[in-house]
Amino acid sequence: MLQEIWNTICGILADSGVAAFFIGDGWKNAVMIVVACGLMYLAIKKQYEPLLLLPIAFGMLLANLPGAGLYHSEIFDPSNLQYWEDGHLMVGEVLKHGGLLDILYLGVKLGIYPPLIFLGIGCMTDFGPLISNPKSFLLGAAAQLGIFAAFIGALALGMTPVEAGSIGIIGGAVGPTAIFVTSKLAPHLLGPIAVAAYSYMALVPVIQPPIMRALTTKKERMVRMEQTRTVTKTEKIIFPILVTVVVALLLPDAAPLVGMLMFGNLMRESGVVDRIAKTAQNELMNIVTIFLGTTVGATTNGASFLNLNTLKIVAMGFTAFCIGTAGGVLFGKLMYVITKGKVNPLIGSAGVSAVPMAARVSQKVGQETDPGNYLLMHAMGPNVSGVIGSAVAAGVLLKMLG
Amino acid sequence: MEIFQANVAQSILEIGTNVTAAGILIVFSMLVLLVFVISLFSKAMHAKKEQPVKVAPKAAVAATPKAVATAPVAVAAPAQDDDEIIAVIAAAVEAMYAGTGKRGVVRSVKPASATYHKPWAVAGIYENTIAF
Repeated sequence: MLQEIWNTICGILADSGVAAFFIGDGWKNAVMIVVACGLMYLAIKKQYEPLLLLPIAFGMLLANLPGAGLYHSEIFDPSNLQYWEDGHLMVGEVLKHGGLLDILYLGVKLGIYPPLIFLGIGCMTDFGPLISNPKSFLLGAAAQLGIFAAFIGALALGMTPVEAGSIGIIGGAVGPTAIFVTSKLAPHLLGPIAVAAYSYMALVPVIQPPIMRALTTKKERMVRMEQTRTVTKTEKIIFPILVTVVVALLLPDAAPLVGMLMFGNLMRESGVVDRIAKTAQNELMNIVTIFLGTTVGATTNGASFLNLNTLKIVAMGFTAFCIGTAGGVLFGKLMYVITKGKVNPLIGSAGVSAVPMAARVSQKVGQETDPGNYLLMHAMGPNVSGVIGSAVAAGVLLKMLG
Repeated sequence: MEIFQANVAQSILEIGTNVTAAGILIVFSMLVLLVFVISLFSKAMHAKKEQPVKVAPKAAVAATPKAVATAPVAVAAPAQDDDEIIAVIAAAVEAMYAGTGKRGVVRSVKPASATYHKPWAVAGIYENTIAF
C-alpha cells in the first residue's frame, strides 16, 4: 500500500512541469522563464515601455511553463496539416482545440490587433505640426533609411529575405507595424522581434543623442525655428481623408495600417464622435494591447528565442535605430542648407517614430545647447510623419516579399 | 556546389538591392506626393478666405496717446480686430489704475516678439519635458 502511495506521488511529480524541464529541450523553457523575469524587471523597475513589455514578458512566462497548455506553438506551424490546409490556417480547428493564448493569438495571426492599435494611436495623435510644415514629411521619410539598412545587414548575416524584411521593420520604431509585418512575413521570429522593437524604442533616449551630437555642429543645433502657423479645423479633417485615399490607392498593402491610423485621427478631429473616439484610444486600445502583448510574448519558446537569430535581431535592431537617426539628422542638415538655416537638423532624428519619445529627445538635445529653444512641437511633425512613413515602408516590404 | 552557392548569394544580393532601392524610392515618392497634395490643398483653402480676417499679431499697430476712460483708442490700423484688441488693452490699463488717482496712457501697441510663448504653451512644454 505504501508502495502504491509512493507510485502515485512519483506519477504526479513525473507529470509535473518541473519534471518536464529535465526532458529533452525542457531546460530551454527554464531559461526562458528566467528571461521573462528579467524582462519583467526591465518593465516594472526600469519602466522600459511597460505597457507592452510587461504583457510580453508575462506571456513568455505563461507559455514556457511546461504542461500549462495555454499556448501550443505547433498549432501555428504551417507544416502541421491538422491545422493548416493549402497554406491557410484553419481557424475553426484552432477554436476547437486551442488554449486561451492560442485563440487570442488569432488576432495577431490574422492581422487584426495592430490595425486596431493604430486606430487608437490615430485618435491620440495631433497632426497639426505636420500639416503646418509639410516638409516634415521628408524628414519622416529619411529616417526610414534605418529599415532598409537593417534589411541589407540581415541579408548579409544570412537571413532569408522575408526574415530580413521583418528584422528591418524594427527600424520603423513603431511596435504594431513591426508585429504586423513579422506576423505575415516571418511569424517564427515574432517573439524576438517584438521584444527587440519595444526594447529599442525604450532606449531611444540613450541611442539617439550621441549620434545627433556627432552629426551636427553647435551652430546648427542652436537654430530656432519659426513658430508654426495655426492649422484650421477643416485642414485637420481633410488631412486624414486625403492621406488614406492617396496611400491606399497607390500602395494597398499599407491600407490596413494607414487607413486605421487616419480613421482614428478623423474620429478625433471631426469632434462629432467623441464617445467612440474616447473608446478607441482608451478601452479598445487597452484591451488590444493586453491581448497583443500577451500572445506575442507567448510565441517566444526556448527554441525560437535562444538561438543565434535572436542575437542577429538584437544587432540589426540597434543598427536600424542608429542609421535611422543618422539618416534623419543628415536630411535635416540638408534642409538646413536648402532653407538657409531655418530648419534645425535635430528635428530630423524625430523621424525615428517612437512617439513622442524621439521628439522629446530632439527637444532635450536642442536645449543642451540653447536652453530657450523649444523644438518639441517642431519635432512632432517628423515624429508623426515617421509613423506614416514606416507604415508605407511596411506596405512596400509586404508587397515585395510577401 | 560553389557555383550554386555563388548564384544563391548573387540572387540574395539582387533581392536586397532591389527591395532597398524600390523601398526607399517608394517611401520618399509617396511622402513627397503627400507633401505636394497637402500643400496644394492648404493653399486652395487659404486662397478661398481672402477677406481680411487677419489676426493682429501680424500687423504692427501704433496708437496715438490718449487719456480716455472708455472710448476705444483711435488707430491707424486697418482691421476691426485690432480696434477691439486695443480697446480691451486700454480698458485693462484703465482698470489697473482705477482707484489710484492716476491714469494709464496707451502710447503704442506692438505684437509680442516672434519667440514669445503664451503661458499655457510654456506650461505644456514644461510638462512634456519635465520627466526627461
